[in-house]
Amino acid sequence: MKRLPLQKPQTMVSPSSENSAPKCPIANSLEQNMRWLQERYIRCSDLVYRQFTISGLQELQGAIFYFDGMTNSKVVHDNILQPLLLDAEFINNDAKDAENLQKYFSFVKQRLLPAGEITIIDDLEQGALSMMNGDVLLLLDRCEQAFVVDAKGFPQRSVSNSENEVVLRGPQEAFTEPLRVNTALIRRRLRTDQLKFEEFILGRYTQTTVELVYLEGVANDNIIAEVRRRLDNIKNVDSILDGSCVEQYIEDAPFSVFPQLQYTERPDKVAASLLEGRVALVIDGSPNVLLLPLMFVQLLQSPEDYYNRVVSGTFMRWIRYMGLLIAATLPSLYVAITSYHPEMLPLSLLLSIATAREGVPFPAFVEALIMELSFELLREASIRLPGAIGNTIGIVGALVIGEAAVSAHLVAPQMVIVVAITAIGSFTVPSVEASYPIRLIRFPLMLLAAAFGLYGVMLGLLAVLVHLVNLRSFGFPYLEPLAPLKLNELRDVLVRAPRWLMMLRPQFREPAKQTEFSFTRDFWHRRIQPIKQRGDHSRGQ
Amino acid sequence: MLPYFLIKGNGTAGVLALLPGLLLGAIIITSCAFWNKTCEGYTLFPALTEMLGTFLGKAVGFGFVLFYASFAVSCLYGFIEVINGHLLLETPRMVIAIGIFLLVGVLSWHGLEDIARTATLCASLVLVISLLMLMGSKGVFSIENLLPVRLGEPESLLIAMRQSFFAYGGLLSLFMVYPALSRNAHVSKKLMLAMGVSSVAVSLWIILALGVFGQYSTGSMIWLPLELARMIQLSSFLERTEALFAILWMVVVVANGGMLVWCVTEGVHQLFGKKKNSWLHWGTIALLVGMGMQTKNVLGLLQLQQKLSMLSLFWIPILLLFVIVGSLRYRHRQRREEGLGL
Repeated sequence: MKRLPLQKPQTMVSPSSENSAPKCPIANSLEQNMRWLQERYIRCSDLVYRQFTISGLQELQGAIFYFDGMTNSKVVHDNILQPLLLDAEFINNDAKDAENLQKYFSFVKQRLLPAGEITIIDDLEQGALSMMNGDVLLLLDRCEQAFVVDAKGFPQRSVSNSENEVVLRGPQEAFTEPLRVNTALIRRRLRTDQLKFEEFILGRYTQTTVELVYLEGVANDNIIAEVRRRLDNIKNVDSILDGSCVEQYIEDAPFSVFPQLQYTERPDKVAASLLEGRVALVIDGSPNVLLLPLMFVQLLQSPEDYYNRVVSGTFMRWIRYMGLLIAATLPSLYVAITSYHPEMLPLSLLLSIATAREGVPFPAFVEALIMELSFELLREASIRLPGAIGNTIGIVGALVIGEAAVSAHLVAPQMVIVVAITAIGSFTVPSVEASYPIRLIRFPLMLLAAAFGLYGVMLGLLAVLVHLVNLRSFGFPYLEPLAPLKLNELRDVLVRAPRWLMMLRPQFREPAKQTEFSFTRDFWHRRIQPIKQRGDHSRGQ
Repeated sequence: MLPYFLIKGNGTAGVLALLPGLLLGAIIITSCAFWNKTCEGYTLFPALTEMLGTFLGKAVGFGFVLFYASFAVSCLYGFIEVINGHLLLETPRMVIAIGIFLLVGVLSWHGLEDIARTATLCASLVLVISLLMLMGSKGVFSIENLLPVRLGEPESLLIAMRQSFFAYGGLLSLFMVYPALSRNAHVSKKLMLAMGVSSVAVSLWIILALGVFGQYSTGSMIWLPLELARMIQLSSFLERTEALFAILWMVVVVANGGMLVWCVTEGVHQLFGKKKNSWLHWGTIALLVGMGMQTKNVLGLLQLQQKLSMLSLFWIPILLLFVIVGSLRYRHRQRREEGLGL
């Protein structure tokens, strides 16, 4: 196999600035086509090309182009080169005749390429794009069409257990990076022709494939149209490396701490969401799938709720609600009550706290801040460290630092307990993206508690509530079905109702009110504009 | 503060002073429904200018805005006094006021729909608080405290009636809210039902206070919710939880205050013929804060309430009269135009 030599080309072909670049029709001459591709991918050492003579006919030349490491070598050798070089038998030896050329072309397609997926193209740009997706481009001399043969073989992780959404009961598989593996995992669960995958190519430099997945007839058509519109408008961004990039471009309120799209790495969760009428975005190269629209209560639901019995599922759900409340408010309540309202505590507890805090030089707020920040530092450090060390650091840090801080009279023992219970409460939240806002709002609440006591805590909580009430996810109220109140849907919020009671889909199947959509559309239009209008082509990631 | 004014000097019979207010409330709802039916599709201020002419319409509209502003200030500063007087004694009133008004300002900026959703969420909490108060008072409630039923001095009864008039006069906010709700054909019926339920709830609450504290004590308590919250015993573990319940009561204040402030800011926007303008909105909020700060303490607030209740005897009927007469004239004009084929 010949690799592309590192030399300056005579002409430089710059990458197209838009996905819908002008067509570059395939020339009649193999040499011309090969030269175009060589100049296009100059200084790309992983580009491999091979020119050859088609078996049985010396005058007919062909060439394959592909990227090393992205294709399956066995497919290239066995399903492309071997048939063409060794096994070809032609009906007519005279390939100069245009009519026979057509027969020869269809003969190659139908008899000489035993690959599962073959696409015929007449545009070299399209061929180049396919090569970057791991396919092999087969060019033939005196032919204005080419073959794109599916031979993808780039390295990929195998389907494994979900790391971030662990369940004790239920399916264990998780998504991986390749798009088609993920779509297959979804297709395996929803075996219906109503399951649709609409493809979008986003990112000028990454050309990332993003699939919009929905159940036709079940999903809200307004949501589908809105998602299509937003994805179409971000085709020309520089790069889409992960689902988070897509999320940040298309969400309604980018400065809110609360997520408006949900991440999941579980195929069963995606399938269940699609059945509810939601829409999914599968991004090539990302093991996380985006689900929208998102309601706040969905962040607190786990697939395990539905795999366990009704009572167990309900109980676990309420434990999570309690955990959420504790994680958000316990430190601030401790600061408020000990600083402003000690009369609420029974005398014995009050004396115990007072005795423990004797000698501590800091006020309760500073104590709480020191402990919370230390815990956040430990948590962040343990994520970065390799597995065994990270676990050890976490345990040692928590025990040693906590014990040392108490012994040195820097903090009271009660504060260590409060911080520990707060941390445990935050871990009960099943969604990683939901735990961040809880961690973040804890600090302003502590500050308000230090300044105004319980009044400050309530002020902060009401401010968060007002924000959540105003938040929308693709036009739908974030706090639905609590506000607006939809009693029918509360059976899956307050409790985990039996399946035979949950026979109706959620009401976001109904079209969102026009006023709400207008709000999101106008806001979003102001924020995102096509790059050529801005005149700035140097937007990096 | 309403029970204070009702019971002071009137004893148990003070509850009867709610009747004039109830009557006024019914008149307001009926007038509002009649106006909305006549001027369907109009919000209040455009309807007033249409019915009464530009100058008079805007003057009457300004009267509405002033009433909403005084009611909002009276309502919100009542809560601020509770916080300042019982929970945060050393924190300046201005700081507490800014906190509440900021929150209420943001809520009113988001609009009526969000206010309604916030109120929906808070309703369950209010129910829980009310039930806890009932349970807490169960042990000390005595029917004997409700007797004898006697009529007090005419002056005290008049003050009580005025206060009840002013309290139910808050229903004038329906003139701002009704156009947004009137898409629902049964809104007026639901409003009557809501008024009935809330009247019964207020009456029961006052009777509960009378039964727990007796006539003399109730007539001297300004912050009755706080006193009732003191009766609640959650367990032997937590004591003196009235602070907690006073804070929980904040959700009621924010929901009510949000709607009242929305009426004020929406009225100002309609007066100036503007859509959502942040300068107008936050400028109005600042003015409301300034208005409330003119009352130095709870005594000043009591005096303000008394003055406002006296004014409301003329203020509210005049506003209603303009609306009703204007609606009749408008309807007559429309029929005449229809008859002429215009």
